[in-house]
Amino acid sequence: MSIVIKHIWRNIKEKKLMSALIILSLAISGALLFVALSIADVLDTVADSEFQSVTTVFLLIFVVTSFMSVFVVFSSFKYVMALRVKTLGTLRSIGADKKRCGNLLLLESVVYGLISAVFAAAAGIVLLLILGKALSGGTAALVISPTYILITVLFCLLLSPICAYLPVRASEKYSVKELILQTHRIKEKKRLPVLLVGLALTAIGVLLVLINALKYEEWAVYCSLFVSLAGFVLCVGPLVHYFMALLGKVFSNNFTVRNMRENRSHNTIAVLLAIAVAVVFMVNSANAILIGATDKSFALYNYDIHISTKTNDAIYSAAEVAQVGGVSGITAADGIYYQSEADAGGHIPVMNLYGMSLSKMNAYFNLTTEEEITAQDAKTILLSRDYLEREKLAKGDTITVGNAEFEIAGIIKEMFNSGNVGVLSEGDFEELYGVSRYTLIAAKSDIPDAARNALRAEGFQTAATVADMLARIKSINADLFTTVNYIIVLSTTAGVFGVLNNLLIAFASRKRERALLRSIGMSKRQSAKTILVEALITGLTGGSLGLVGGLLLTAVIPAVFLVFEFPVKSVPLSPAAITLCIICSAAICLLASLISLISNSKLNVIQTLREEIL
Amino acid sequence: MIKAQSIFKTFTIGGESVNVLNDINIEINDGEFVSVTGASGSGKSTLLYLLGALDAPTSGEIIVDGTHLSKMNDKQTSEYRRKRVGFVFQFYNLIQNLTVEENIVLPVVLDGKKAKGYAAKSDELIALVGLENVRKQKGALLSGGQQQRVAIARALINDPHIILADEPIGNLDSVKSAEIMKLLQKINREKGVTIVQVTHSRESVGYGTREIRLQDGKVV
Ligand SMILES: Nc1ncnc2c1ncn2[C@@H]1O[C@H](COP(=O)(O)OP(=O)(O)O)[C@@H](O)[C@H]1O
Ligand SMILES: [Mg+2]
Repeated sequence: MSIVIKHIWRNIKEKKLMSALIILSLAISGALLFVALSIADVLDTVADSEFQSVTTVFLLIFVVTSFMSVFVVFSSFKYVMALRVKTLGTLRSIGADKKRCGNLLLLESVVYGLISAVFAAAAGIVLLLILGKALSGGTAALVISPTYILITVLFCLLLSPICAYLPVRASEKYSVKELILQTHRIKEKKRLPVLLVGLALTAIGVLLVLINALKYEEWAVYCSLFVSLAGFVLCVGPLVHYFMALLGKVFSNNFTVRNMRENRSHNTIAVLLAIAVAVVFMVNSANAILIGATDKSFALYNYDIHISTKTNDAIYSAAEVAQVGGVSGITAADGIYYQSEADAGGHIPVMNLYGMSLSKMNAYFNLTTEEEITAQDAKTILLSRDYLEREKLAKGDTITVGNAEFEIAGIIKEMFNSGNVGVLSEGDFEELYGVSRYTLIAAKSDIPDAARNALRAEGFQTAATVADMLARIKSINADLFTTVNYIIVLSTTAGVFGVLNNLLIAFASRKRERALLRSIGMSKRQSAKTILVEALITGLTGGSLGLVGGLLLTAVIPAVFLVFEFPVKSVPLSPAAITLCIICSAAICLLASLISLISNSKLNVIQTLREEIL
Repeated sequence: MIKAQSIFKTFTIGGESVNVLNDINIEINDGEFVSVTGASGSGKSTLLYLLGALDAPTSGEIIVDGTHLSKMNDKQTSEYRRKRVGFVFQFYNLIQNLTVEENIVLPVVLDGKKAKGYAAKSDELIALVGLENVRKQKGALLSGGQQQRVAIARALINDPHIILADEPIGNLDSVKSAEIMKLLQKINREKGVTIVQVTHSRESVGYGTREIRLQDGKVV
């Protein structure tokens, strides 16, 4: 084996904990990808338009969380490089050129990539199996795909050197002397410009989300969301620094607090925590909205059996409706015109446009108007309050639906979160869409299951009981939320590894300082206290900054949902979630600092001081 | 031959610039054993780093055997460090997890050659510095004097014309110091290697052929 390879291998072996943490954070990123890919396949099979928004949100969550896990891997590598600085200097001093040193570091990262690829594939498969057990079966079964395993392996192999690349390039700009004497980090970073750029990006991103959402450009919303996220990530670093500086000013008589802002690893941890908290918080809000909305979506139907095609084709004749009415067990049946996403000129589409008489509406739907209407005139439309408020329309205004103008004659009471419903008279609907057959047959029955079977026997294969539909949707929902939460847990784990990693480095890089302080009389207890104070400050800073970011991201969620014609009036903010975010990040830091505390209690003062001199 | 012409080196700390080297002009001939002395902070290490192309002067020119260091790119300066000079640091700078042998042949490996071809050469150097019994030990486990001898052997593996040593005995006791100085003298006399050492100790100056004294960044 070449000496260089031997050196790399020994680096990995000797710094077991550190290598393990890097490999684990890489592997978790890979496993996350594997699980997400496999889940996306399953989600694809849930074709109903009602779930489009859920799957998109899932995608969004995945993008955001992978953003974070990649950041964790990246920051780990930044510190590995920092630890290698002296070795790099030594190699350069005996004649290795920059390229060679760079290659050496990249090779090391490839080794991490290789090892982690194996773990990622294995962990991914295990996680998928566990997830499969947790799902209620509403969605299709999860399948372990060899293609995705391959993608995961390639991902780990590539992610590792890619994350290592930037720190490697950064190390190349220093002179050999700076590397050897480790004076390369004395230069102050430029923070203010970064902060300003970050703030500007966030503002622009948020603004664009709001504007684009109104225009229904899905990809544009994603891009702007990404911009605002990137802006936030840029801001966090400088913000943490300034916040620590402020703390230092306030508690200027406390040595530990005063020095926090110079404490790079702790600041990185705070940054990590802030991003993680923001993401978790946002995802949580999105989840809450969806759960609230889907639970209520079936409150609309006041009938028991639903007959329609998957693509809502207008195919049912009056004779067929009569046939349904004659089936045993059916007490009433009627045909109803329906159009989804009806074009409304300059306004957002009407998601659910019905063509039915008032008597049908009262009989089959839980739709009532705010002021009682006895008859619907021609060329008038009834619209839900949510829709009108959102589009700044009022009773008496006119609106263009399809190619005809309608006067808004009544307001349908809001009955669930995503109320976007319109009702036309049957005559108007027939004229507008040129149809004479119904889109759906609604039927009532006291024995829905038996009636459904009878209907199927008569050739109405799509007949389904509303209760079944609701159960199915509930089960799909449950699965979707299980998966979303699963992804959250995974990415949080990645975040925790990032925190552990950095705390470890923080301790290692200041081992000598601790030994020195101990040698001049600082007790183990005092030393432990400083570790805890640092962890606590870091956790609280990261937690509260993350909360600010999370609230900001939450503010744009309604806009994102809007793109999927899923109007959200308000985002539920739970004080419990807010408190939990802060407490959790402090707790994570304190827990993670246990490792440092153990190392601290075992610190051999003489040995440490001697090692550093030799 | 090493020529330093009108060398200035300025560091900026907190917006204030300090002239550490202030118009240095020196010439060192082949085969010389020069000791650079001066008070702590007088710029001795800085000068040595410049000669070894580990750092670049703010202005001025260093010419080694007719080539201008400032005109070399990274690849060329790396080759210069690899083949033409050997640098010995006060704090040894071994790769801690490589063995004595591995550390010594590292410059050869960096040169893209097989370490095996240099087995005889490395044996010879290990004998020269007297480390036969610890050749398989890792750098981290050696004493200071042993580490320094490894560093010297490493500096010699590519047969450089010049050895630059920054306080090679700065951390050693007088017995070990004398051993290292004798070793350097031997290398200088028998191999004809030019040696430039930075030192604080009067005795070690005696092993050399000439002394260059620095004071406030100037040769006195
Ligand atoms: N990277 C640097 N940045 C700022 N000042 C430096 C740097 N390196 C050396 N100096 C300063 O240059 C002066 C000379 O340093 P040095 O050459 O190491 O002195 P010595 O003669 O003791 O070896 C010292 O005052 C030191 O503080
Ligand atoms: Mg010095």
